[in-house]
Amino acid sequence: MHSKLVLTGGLVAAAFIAAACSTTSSSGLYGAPSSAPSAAPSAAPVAAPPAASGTAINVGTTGLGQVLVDSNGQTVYLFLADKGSASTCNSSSCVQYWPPVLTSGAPVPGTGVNGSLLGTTARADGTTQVTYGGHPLYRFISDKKAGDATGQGVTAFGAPWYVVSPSGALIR
Amino acid sequence: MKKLIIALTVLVGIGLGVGTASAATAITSGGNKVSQPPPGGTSGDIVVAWNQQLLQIVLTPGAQPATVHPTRSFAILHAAIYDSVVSITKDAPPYLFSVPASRGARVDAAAAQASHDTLAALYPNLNSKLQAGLDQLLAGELVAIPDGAGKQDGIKVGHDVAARLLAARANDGSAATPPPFIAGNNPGDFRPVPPSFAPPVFTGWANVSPFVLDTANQFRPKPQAAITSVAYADALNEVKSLGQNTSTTRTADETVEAKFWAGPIWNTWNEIADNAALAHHTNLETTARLFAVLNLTFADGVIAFYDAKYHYVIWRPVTAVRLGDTIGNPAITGDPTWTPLATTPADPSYPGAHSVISSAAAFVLSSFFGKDDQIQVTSDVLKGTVRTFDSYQAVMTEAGLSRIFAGVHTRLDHEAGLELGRDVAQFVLRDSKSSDFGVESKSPNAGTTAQPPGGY
Repeated sequence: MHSKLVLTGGLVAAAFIAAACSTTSSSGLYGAPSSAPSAAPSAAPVAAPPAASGTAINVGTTGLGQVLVDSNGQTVYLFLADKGSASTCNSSSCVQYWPPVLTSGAPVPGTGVNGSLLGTTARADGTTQVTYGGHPLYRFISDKKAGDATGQGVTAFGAPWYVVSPSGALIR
Repeated sequence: MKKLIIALTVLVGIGLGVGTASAATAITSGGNKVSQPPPGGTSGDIVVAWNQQLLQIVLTPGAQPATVHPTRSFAILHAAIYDSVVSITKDAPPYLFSVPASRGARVDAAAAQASHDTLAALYPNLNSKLQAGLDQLLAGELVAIPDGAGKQDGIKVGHDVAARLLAARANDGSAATPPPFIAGNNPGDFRPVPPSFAPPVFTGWANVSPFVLDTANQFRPKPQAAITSVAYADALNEVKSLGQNTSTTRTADETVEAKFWAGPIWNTWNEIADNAALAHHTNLETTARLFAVLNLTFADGVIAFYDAKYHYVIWRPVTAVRLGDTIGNPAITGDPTWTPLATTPADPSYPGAHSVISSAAAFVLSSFFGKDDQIQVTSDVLKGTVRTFDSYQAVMTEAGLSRIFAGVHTRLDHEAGLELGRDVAQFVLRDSKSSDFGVESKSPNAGTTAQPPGGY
C-alpha cells in the first residue's frame, strides 16, 4: 500500500466546492491566460485534444524514472492533501512555492500520456488547473530545469507532494 | 502512529528539553512540545554557534549588502535549521518544507550542514577569514559525529532543506533596487535628517514577501496623533528635553542606556537568546524552534515596520523640534539648533524599530522561558558594560525607551512599535504551533486538513 497508490477519477462536483471556498489567492501571477473559459464544463476527460490553447502534459525522465512533466519539461507533482479534484493549495504562499499547472483549454496529452486521465478543475481564484486521474497538478519552485524533481517526498502545507507516473500512479 | 507520538510527547515532554523549573513550566504553558531528543539532539549548542557565526558576519563592515536587511538572513538560516531537524524528528510540522529522512539520520549533522549551506549561499563574497570560519565550524561539528549512515543521512537532509528554502526565497523581492524617496515639505513630513542628510534606507522593503504574515500591512498601526494635538506636543516635548545632546533632565544612567542600546537591535536580542538557550540547556529541537520563531518574527516585524514607516512617513524628532514653530501647535516651541544625543537613523520615525523588535522578542522569549528570568545583556556598541534584568519585558521597556533618551524617537513611536511587535510575534507563534506552520491562517482551505499531516 505504501509503494504505489493508483489514482482514481476525480469528482467534478468538488471543483465547485473549491470555487465556493473563495480565498485571496492572487490571479495571473503564473501566466494564466486572460481568456480562460472558467465557465466551460471542465472536468470531463477529453478523448482528443481539440483546443490548441490547452497546456501540454508530457512524459519526461528524472532520477525517479518516467514522470509527468509540463510543456517546458518541468516535473509536475500531486498534493496528498487534495482528496478530490479540488485543489487545497490556495493560499498565496502555497501557490508561490507550488504553482498550479494552469490551462486555458482542454489539456493536450503528449506521447505516453493517457488522454483519458487528463482533465481540469476550477480553482478558487477562477483559473483552470490541469488534473491527472482527477488530481490537480503543480510545479515546485525549487526545480530549475527539466529532469529536476526536488519536490519529491517533500512535506509542505500539511501533506507530502509526489511525482506522477504516466499510468496515473503516484511514485514514492 | 501519529497519535502515539503525540501522546508520548506529552508524557515525557515536561522538563526534558530545559534545565530549570521555571523554563519547564514556561514550555508547558507555551505549548512548545519537547520530546525525547534523537541521537545528536541533546544540545542546542550547534544552533547558537551558527547564530553567532551570522552575528559575526553582519557585524563585519561591508559583509551585509546595504539594501538587504540582515533579519532576512537570520530568518532563512534558522528556518533551514528548524526544517532540517523536524524533517528527521517528525515531531512538528516544518516551517516550509520537510524532506524525506530516515529515522536514524543525525539531527546535529543535518543542522550543521543546513546552516553552512545557507550562509555560504547568502554570503558568496565573504572575506577569506569569515569564509574559513564557516568551513571550520562545519568541519569541527561534523568531525565530532561518529561516521556512518546516520551522519551521511543527516548531512543530506541539511543539504536538501537548505537548497529548497533558498530557492523558495530566491525571488522574494529582497534584491530589488529600493525606489528613490521624494520628501514632502509639509509639517510632519519625514525628510532626510542631519547631520549627513543621507537618503532614507529600505524604502521598498515592505514589498518583500513576508515569511509568515499574510501581508506586510496586516498589523499596520493606527495613524499617529495629529502633530497639532496635545498628545503629540507632550511626546515631542518629552524627547526634546530628555533626548538633547546637552540635556540636563536625562539622568546619567539614561545616558548610558541611550548608548548601550544604540546598535542593531535584532543583533542584541539574538545575543540575549543565545545566552538564554545556553543557560537553560535547551535541546537541539527546542533551540531550533526558538530561533526560528524569533527570527521569522524579526524578519516579518521589519517588513511590517517599514510598511508603516513609509506609509505614514512621519518626521524625526530632530526635524520636528527644529521646525517646531511651523507646526501651529501652541504647546510646541521650536529650537532651530536642537541636536539629539545620538545620530538619527535615515528612515521615518513612526513606529520605532527598537520597540517593534524588542516587543516581539520579549513575547517570544517569555513564551519559551517564562516572563521572569535572569538576563544579563552586553552591548556591541558600549563594550564592557553589563546590564541585568529579571524579565524580558523589562529588557523590552528599557531598549524601547532608550530611543527617547537618544533623541531619535518619541513615545508615540515607542508605543505603536510595542503593539506592532506583539501582534507580529503573537501571529507567528500561533502559526508555529498550528498543524500547518507556514500556511496562511486566513485560508479557509488550510483548515481542511483536520487529520494530522502525513497520515497516509
